Amino acid sequence: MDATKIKYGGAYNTDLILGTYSGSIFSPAPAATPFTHTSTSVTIPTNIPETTFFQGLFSTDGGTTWLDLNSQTPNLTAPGLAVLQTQVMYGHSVLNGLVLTADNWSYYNGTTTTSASYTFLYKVVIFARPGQGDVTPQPVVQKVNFNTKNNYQKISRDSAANITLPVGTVTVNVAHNLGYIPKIRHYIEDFSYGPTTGLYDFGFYASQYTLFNCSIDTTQVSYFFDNSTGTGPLTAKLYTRIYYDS
Amino acid sequence: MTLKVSKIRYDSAIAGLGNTTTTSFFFDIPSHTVPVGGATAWLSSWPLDNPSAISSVQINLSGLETLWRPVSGSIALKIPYSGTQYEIEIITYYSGGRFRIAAYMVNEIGSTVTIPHIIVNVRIFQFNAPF
Repeated sequence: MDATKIKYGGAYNTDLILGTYSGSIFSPAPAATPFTHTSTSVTIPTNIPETTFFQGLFSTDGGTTWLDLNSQTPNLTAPGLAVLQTQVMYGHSVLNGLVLTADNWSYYNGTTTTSASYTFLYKVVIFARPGQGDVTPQPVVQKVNFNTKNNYQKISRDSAANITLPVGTVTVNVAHNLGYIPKIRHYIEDFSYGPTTGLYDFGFYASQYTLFNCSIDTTQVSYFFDNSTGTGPLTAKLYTRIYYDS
Repeated sequence: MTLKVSKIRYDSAIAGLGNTTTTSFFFDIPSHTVPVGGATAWLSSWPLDNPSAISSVQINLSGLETLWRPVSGSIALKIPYSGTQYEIEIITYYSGGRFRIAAYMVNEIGSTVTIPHIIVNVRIFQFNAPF
């Protein structure tokens, strides 16, 4: 049976939402000097004594435009320059909480620098990771939890791998053998390379450190870590959730 | 009420992330020369049914590799080419009801570099969350 054709099947695992949250963070203007930023965080209590998976959206224009976490709107007023650091929100899950951080960068166009304050609106959802323990599900703001007309994302397999990075390079492969490129979500936890202990979207690391990469082919998900110039050993748990979606 | 959530496949009290839609498209980055310290940018956009849905994005740099790479917001990739390498940064965002993607080439190599023709294939998975 082709799992991707089934709208909902109780035989398949799906993401299980543990709670949804919305709110705002006020981010003051950074100094109007090149490459400076303000970083403002808020911790949302989840009352779950473990880390969880999460994903969310944020807006810096009052809710007109929503971006996925880790996204940023490039400033294209000077297209000859790659002005990438504007406003970005990202998160990490900790015990009993979800920490959201809003970074507000000054805009340097090569000649002058400007900055402004922003109010970041956010909407985030937390959902169960493999091996999640006893939790009290939080209310979600929707009357219909499941609708069989919708094609829910069915989980093909979950991988939770303990990885060790000595000084050098490491490749980690997670097999799926689906025969096509699947959709995935991936997270990394307790990685001493990162700014703070917690569970992060792997894409956050991939955007921060170009020597951490992930790629997908028709048989496996491959991770490449280059710690050649770092210290070691570093340890982490790498979560990979592979869906049937093609 | 507490639940051992990881043992549950389905519970009517717990919502799921669902209703996935997938959109595919591509855009061209022509072969060109980037001077030392220079950067060039390409921007493309496509309409989306529900810009406020959470998405997952994958890209494939056709002409350079056959793999697909997941992109979460933005990602910088070191691309090996002709014995050297350069950097491409991909940024995804929403604006005006459209999904937009920007690709930047940054030359930090120390000499003028010629970028090959690249086709950026893009896939977007969207799902509705109960916000």
